[in-house]
Amino acid sequence: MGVASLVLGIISIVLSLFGGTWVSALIGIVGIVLGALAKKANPENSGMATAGMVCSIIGTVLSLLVFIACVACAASVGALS
Amino acid sequence: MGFYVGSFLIPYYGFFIALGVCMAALCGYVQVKLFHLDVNDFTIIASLVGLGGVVGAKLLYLIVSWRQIDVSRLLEWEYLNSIMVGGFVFYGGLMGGLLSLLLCARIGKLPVLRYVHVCMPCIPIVHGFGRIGCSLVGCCYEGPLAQVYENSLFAPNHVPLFPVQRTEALANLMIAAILLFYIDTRRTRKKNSLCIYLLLYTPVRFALEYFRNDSRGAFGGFSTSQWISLGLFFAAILYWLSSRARERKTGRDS
Repeated sequence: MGVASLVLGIISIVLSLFGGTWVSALIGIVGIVLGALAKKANPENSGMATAGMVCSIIGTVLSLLVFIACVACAASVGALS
Repeated sequence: MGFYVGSFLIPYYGFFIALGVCMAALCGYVQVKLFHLDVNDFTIIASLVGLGGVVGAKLLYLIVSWRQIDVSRLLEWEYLNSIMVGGFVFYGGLMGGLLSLLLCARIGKLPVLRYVHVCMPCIPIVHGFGRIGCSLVGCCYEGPLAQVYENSLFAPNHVPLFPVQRTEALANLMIAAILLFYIDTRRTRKKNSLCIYLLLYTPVRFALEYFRNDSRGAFGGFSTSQWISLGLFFAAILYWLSSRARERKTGRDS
């Protein structure tokens, strides 16, 4: 699970920086959960899981920062499209 | 709409939501350490609640604004993307988050209530910061009063408007402070943070709906959010009364 978390974290960062969208936020959140599960399952040997969690958190925050626009009003869907 | 870092445009809303998530995570981490809970469990619960919240907020948004959505264009990536990144309804997020909590407890066998009672202020912190972002962009404006937009895509420019989003942001941050005070002064006693949060937030939202220019569904004289506020307010009172009755009964039995 630690490896999966690291892979998802890296994908999340890459997607959020190079044209990825809300998908990178979802991948990042899954990466954080897998990293925490891996750390919980094996606390003594959790280096990979910690790295995965850190990458996933960075990817998720970058996705939120760059891609979520405030378009709460229904009329704004038309404005965006 | 936002500010530039080099050639990158950072939208105000995204910036403040990200800042709110970081502040809430910090607050949750401090609370978890203070009450000697497991940080890994907190991370799992918080992430799944966040995921459920985003899905719920988006689903309710799609339900209340289905008339504005062109179904025939949903297969176009740009149109689908514009719908997915913009437009969320807070109450949908709250209900999605609560559903995620239920799944964490049932499927993951995690002690979610312990974390909810300790980390509840995280929700109004994220919400409060998000509302500051909304205010800067000009979402769901209403007038007349003090706020004047010069270059907003959504609110009428050069017209004095009531600063409804700033008011809600302030209310949310005050609710977070009250909850933190309540939780941290009741270290060993039973806490009911979720009920207190709902009892504090729902009347504020109900009243502020009268000042918002939000066209996302209304029936029976109230907006969708006002109906949900009423439902959640009475649900919180019922939960509070039933838990008090249960406590009295267990007190008598023991």
